[in-house]
Amino acid sequence: MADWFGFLLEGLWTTLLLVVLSTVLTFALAVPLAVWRISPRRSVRALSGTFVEIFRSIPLPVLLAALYFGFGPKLKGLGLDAFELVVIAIVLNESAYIAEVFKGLLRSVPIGQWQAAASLGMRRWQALRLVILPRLRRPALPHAVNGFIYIVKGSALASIITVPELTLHANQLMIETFRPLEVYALVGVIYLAINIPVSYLGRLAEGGRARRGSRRAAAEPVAPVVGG
Amino acid sequence: MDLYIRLITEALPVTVGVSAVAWLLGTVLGTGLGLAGLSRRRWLRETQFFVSTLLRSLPELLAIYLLFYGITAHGVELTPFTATVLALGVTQAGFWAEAVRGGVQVVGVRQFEAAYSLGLTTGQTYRKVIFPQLVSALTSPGLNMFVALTKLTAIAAAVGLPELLHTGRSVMDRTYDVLPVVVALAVTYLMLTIPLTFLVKAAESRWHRRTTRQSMPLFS
Repeated sequence: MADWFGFLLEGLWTTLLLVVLSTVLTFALAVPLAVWRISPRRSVRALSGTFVEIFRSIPLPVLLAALYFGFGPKLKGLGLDAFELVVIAIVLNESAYIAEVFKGLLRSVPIGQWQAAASLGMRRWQALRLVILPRLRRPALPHAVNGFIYIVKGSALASIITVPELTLHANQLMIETFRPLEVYALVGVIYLAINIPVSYLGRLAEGGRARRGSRRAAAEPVAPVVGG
Repeated sequence: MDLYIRLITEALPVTVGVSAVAWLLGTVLGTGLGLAGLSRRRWLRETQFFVSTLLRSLPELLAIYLLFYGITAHGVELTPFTATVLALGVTQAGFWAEAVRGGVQVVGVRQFEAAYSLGLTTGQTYRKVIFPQLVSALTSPGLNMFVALTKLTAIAAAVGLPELLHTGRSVMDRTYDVLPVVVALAVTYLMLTIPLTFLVKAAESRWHRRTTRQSMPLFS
């Protein structure tokens, strides 16, 4: 059992590295993408829209297989290995999806806020930075938590292209021990140990709903049911 | 060319079939779970949130492994199809439960109060007031779930279910002709999901128009 843990922890390390890197890059790309999606320029809107529609529609496993088996040999010439390809695939897929959610949030800001900012002499990016984005921090939180969970779950797919992360280590352990139920249940618990605290922290950070909430309604706002 | 015909005639029905059955399972389970989250009892609400979080947090690939290798090793026979459908249906039920719960809340506490003040019973309230609004509120997340499931079926390739990705990869392995297969796969998924995305958009704009018209006076 102790051996199991040591072996799985090695995989967990790679998983965490994958998740942190992908999360940072995903959000760094998703926010500008969302802003481009509501750009006053038609060309910018069309370009970002095409990007979003394409990468939102291709399943992550297919994108991974395409990058690794399809373009892998060419990309290896650029010094990219399987680990980096997974990060690229997750970032392309997730940022497109999260950008679309954030675009919806940006659109939900009443036009008056933009006009007020403009009447104070702000430029567009100033209005965004100082007025619009700060007020979206709270409504964006549950969506950001959802995005994070998708990234964690997506990282399990890295095992398909033999990145030695948690699920791949689980598979190897399963082959060695022939105890699939125990191994996979244990790994499931490890994934839950990553995701559940984040999910609850997200609810906590949204602030005192349980206290303030009415008799019937006591929880986070609508989380859309969309896959990563 | 016959490779693409195989992709369309053999693998596509599997992909669509898995997503349809998993969607049905996820909708039924998730609706029950979501309604449990609206209970007056605090412990039931907390349990619902915990179970939803549990289901949402489990990687689908791991859920499939757990069912296909884990349970099967202990004497229960599961085909790759059943394992995939179960794994996807159950994990998506967690998302759907939250959508249902959120949807009922969007419909609003006031509606419940109004219905009670008119003397409707809980059953009547749900049947006559809440569900009709819920159906329009949940149309677009429901379609979104179908899109998500369609994409998620690709991970069934890992347990040898001959869906699109698995078939595509077996073709690649035989012919070493990678790029056309990848493009064909991508185009097939795009053709599957893009009509659905348009449906979602249409449903959203219709629903948005109706609710804004209805609820505007409340906020003025």
